[in-house]
Amino acid sequence: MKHPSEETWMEYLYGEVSVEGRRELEQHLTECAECKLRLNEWQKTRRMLDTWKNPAASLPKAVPRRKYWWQAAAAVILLGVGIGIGWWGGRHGDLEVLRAQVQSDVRQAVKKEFEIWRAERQELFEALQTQQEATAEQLARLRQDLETVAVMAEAGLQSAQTRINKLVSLTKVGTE
Amino acid sequence: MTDEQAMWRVQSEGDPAAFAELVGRWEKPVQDLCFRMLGDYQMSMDIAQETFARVFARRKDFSGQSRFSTWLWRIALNLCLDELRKRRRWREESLEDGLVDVMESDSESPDAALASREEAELVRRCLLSLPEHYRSVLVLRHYENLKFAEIAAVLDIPEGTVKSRMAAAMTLLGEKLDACMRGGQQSSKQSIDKQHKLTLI
Repeated sequence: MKHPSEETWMEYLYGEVSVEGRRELEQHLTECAECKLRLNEWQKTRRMLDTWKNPAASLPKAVPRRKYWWQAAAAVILLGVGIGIGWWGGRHGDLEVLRAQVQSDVRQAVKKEFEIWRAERQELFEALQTQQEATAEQLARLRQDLETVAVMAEAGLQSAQTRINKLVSLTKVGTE
Repeated sequence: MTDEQAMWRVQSEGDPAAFAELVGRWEKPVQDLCFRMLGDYQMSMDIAQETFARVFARRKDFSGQSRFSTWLWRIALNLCLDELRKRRRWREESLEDGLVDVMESDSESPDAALASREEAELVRRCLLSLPEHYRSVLVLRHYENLKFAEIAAVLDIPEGTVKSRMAAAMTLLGEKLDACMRGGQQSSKQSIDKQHKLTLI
């Protein structure tokens, strides 16, 4: 019996296999105890992995998708408003006035939301920049300190060298 | 605005609003990746912050040929690996020191909560003891939900290699978990031999 490769089982385990491929693999599982056992082991490990949670979790992994939901909701609301305007205008013939009023309200609400969002993001960015600047400043200070230490060490070495030379010359004089 | 469009604005105009948008979208997934790779909550927050600082500092390096997310994951992963190497070099790594905070469901009884906490700690320890090239693949696929092809792009290796590493990582992790659960903290010689063999993949 030809067994599917481990790579294929990984695709199966993580749902990256085609419908046809899945059917074939599941058929194989009904006939092959060896592969079934291996797959069970991997599935058990997968379940265990899920027990370790991130304390900061409840991660919005699909952030862009959430944005699309928001857009879809906005589209539905606008559509509703449009239909309402049409219905109201048809009945009362005062379409233009109502449309202007609704547009103005919607614009103001959207503008307000956008300003709040923008202010929050600006704040975050500024905080990040401040931190970057602080880090750069700390590094500059550290570098200055290191340079001072290096200069002092150099001076110390020179002084020690002079003393050694003096000692050597005195020793020579003493020997002679 | 797509990630790539936002990044283009950051690159060309240094647009703070576009950068903030990217940070807002990606900070939690990046923090999660760092947490799974390092196993230390506080450290993962620091490395995630460093990731975004690096993205901004190196904004000109983004070529636009790959997806923004691929570039971002790569930066975050490399910073995590650097941190792990640094720890190893300084002999600071201690699995005992890591902070484990398991979120428990309200419906759990104290006994069940304790059991799941222990299980989570076991997973954390065993996962952190995997070789880095296995852990990277496993974390990106299982926790960050990247497709195998995306992982291949992030790590710059063939997709087949990603899948074979994933299989090896799952097998090795399963063995380690079994060994720990059986109470044998020292895994059997057979397991060690297998680990050596798997590491060569």
